[in-house]
Amino acid sequence: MSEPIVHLECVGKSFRRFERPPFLLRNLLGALVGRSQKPKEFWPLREISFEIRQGETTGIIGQNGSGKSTLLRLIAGAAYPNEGHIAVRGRIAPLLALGAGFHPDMTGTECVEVNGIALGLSRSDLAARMGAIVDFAEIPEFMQTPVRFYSSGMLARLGFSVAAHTDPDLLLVDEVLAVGDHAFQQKCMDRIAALRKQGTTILFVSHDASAVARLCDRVLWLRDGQLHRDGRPGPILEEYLKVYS
Amino acid sequence: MMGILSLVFTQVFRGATPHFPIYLLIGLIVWQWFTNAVTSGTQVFVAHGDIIKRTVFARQALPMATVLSYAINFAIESLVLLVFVPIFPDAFRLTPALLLVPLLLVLLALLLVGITLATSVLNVVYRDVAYIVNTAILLLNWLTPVFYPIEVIPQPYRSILLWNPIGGILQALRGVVMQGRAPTALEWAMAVGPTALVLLGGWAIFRRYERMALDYV
Repeated sequence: MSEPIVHLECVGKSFRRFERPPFLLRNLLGALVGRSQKPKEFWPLREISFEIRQGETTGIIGQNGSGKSTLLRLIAGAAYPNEGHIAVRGRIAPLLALGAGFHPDMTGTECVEVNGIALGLSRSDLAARMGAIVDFAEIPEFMQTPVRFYSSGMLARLGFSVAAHTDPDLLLVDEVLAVGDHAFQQKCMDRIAALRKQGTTILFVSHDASAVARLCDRVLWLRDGQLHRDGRPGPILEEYLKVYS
Repeated sequence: MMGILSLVFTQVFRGATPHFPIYLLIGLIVWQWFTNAVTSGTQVFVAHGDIIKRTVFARQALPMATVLSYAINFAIESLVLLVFVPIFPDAFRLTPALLLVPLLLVLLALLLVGITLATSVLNVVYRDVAYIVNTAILLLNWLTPVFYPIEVIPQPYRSILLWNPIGGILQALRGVVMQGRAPTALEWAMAVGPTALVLLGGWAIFRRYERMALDYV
């Protein structure tokens, strides 16, 4: 229960902000006449250091633009830091967007297969879990329908269901539950709680302070790209709600 | 398309090449694969921005998959070629040299992978790359003996032309299918050399721009 599974050391991520969209021809010509465009850099995240131990459930809170999603993408490996160092052990199930990796023309079943394999399940594992995944998503009659006909709620259900049934070492959840109805959100929370009991490490971004309070052992509060607070949920959430109300 | 082109060009290049319709057809189907794969391979990261941003996988698989999916089109179009075997029996040589066809096609696929690895990531960062690629394809079309017999180009330009990445492979394919002739060492060099360069260059560009592309998609 105490091995660090995620380790970040002075991590910073910079994006470039262009005055004009970058074009290869213009840039090459600009470089030839010595007038190249200098993009301005900005840092949505900087000097972030923390460790997450196996079995911890950590909530990440912060305003829009405070770097929460970027942080999850960095940990998932869907983006790379410009400074510092990130080490992650084990199998990650990133749930960064609704039905990411779902092709609109594929049926629900096909999307589950593609997603499950992308998340590291073998074909036989997948076949064994297909029933549970479909049951959890509660849309058995739509599994042969191309997902372009799905509502956003259905996409969220299926996407969450796949990720939650892959037995990941680390589950990353980025606010995707906001779309589901109350009953489904509750079901996802229960599932997260169950995974947590099994010892899955969970990192989850949410604006729902009460969910964070209920589920998390620890809270990271991001503010202006910095790690503003890190600790037990109670006092941090209290301060957070005070600042933004 | 094929009929019109062969009618026109057979008149224009009368007597320059035997079995010109077959020569042309081979050129056309190879060229089809080339343009389709390069055009949509260039767009693949931009088109699938969401997957790239939100999920994690070996991203080089995307341009590779594009090349392979057009290989299926290519295979179907190649079946058309078989229809012409009884019509132009003299245009085809059933010799052991035909065994080289798969090898040359693998070479062509590697060439396409090399090109699309580079253009797909570059197109994410610089959105005008797709237009540059389209123009380059048009130019390359005329620099490659697709529609005309290579013989109409005088030396030394002919040799220079054959070093273009796809020209060498195309001529080797035609030689194998139509003349039953394995490529000479020089012809192998013209097919393998540029492909190897493109593949290495494409991989290097992909590695250099892949991470950057993730932030721009």
